[in-house]
Amino acid sequence: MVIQDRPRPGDVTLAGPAITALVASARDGDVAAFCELYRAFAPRVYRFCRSRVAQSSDAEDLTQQTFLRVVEALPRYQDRGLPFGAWLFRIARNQVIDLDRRRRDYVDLDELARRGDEPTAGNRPDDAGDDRDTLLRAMARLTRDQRDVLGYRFFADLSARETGRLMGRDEATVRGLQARAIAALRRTLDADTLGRKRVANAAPIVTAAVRG
Amino acid sequence: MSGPQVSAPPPELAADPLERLLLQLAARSGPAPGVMEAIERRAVAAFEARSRATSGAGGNSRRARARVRGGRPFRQALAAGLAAAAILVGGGAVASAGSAPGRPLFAVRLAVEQALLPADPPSDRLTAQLAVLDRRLSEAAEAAPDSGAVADATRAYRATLADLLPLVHRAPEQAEVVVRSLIRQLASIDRLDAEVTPAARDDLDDAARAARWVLATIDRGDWADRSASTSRSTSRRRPTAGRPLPTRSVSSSAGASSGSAGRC
Repeated sequence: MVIQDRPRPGDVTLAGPAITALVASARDGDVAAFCELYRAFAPRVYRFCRSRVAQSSDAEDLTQQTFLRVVEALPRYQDRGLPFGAWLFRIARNQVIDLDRRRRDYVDLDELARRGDEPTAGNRPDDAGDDRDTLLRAMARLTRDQRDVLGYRFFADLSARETGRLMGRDEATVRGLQARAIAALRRTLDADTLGRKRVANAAPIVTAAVRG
Repeated sequence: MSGPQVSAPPPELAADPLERLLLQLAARSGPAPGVMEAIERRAVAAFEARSRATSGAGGNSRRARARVRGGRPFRQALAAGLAAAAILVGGGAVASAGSAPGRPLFAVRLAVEQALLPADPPSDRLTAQLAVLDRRLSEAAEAAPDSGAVADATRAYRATLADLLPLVHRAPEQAEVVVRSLIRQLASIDRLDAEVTPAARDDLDDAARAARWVLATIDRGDWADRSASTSRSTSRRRPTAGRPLPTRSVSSSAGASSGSAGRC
């Protein structure tokens, strides 16, 4: 069975007959169906997780934990108004929240570890590193709903309708929430990146984006 | 990987420069090559093991049980066997409800968990084992008022610790990662100490001593000497028996490498 390629805005790719059929087959133990489901959702789950954690290794762990939870819970899954994809992303979101909760108490140690001079396997440098760090720090100050909507819309590549279904809200509400999230992100970046003390160190791409 | 990829941004999201930036960063936030395939292999292995466990008949399930038992101590294998039988009789749903520390099926969950860890490369297995250690401490924290459950979780924590040194021997470039994780875990154990009942504190102390012992061994760089015997010794007796642990020097030297001196 072939899953449609990249989702288009307005499509409901979290559900649909193909996904429903794959889920039914996977529940019957069909490995190929499970693989199709994995390939349909895993990249977007990874990027959603990546939007919420500072290190790629954490996003990898969260993606893996999400799918292990799916394996564990799939026999009990029933579509009672919550499509499979929405159910899966809720698992991913819960994994992110659990990690956040576990790390909150010892954030100082994590922060210290991240400041190490030598890059580690879980902390790969890349061109987007500075911008991403700046954005992630700013996103971390948004409300949970705002972070969710940005993660779903921009990183998980979900449409407004899909995001609404996932968050239990209608499409218009999601668009409003997204607009407020972007505005709040801009204010945060503006304060952080363009502040007098830090303007000299501001990541150039972020600065340009904030200035519009 | 043939899954959907982020390509050109949808027009509705590309109007604002900040939205464009988010999309650009999202497009560059993909996993490193091979990561999704590695996760897929583990997820599929878990899926297959789960399918075999719930179908519960024929040669496949026998092979799955043998795999689950492989390399584990006899008592654990026996417990796993008995618990697997309980699953087959009582249905798979029992497993998730009764597999928390202190519950009868905890042993089988541990065995399945170990069976599902990636065998190779060693760095992958090491990463997975560190995640397992974190999980054990989370379980101990969740079960804090129940001293029996805390004991179960911390015993399992120590058993998993025993597997670290052989893996560090095989993947020495990961030693720094292990040190950081253990320092973090020691801080967690320290916090947990205030939450558990007095009866569970000894178990936590044992776990902390075992973690410090592993840290000390890595700190000295002699995991190659220890790795052959650790898997037998650390999991079955207190690593502190008969010798003092160099707690202070471990903390300071490990802290020097990760910038967290004095935290543990």
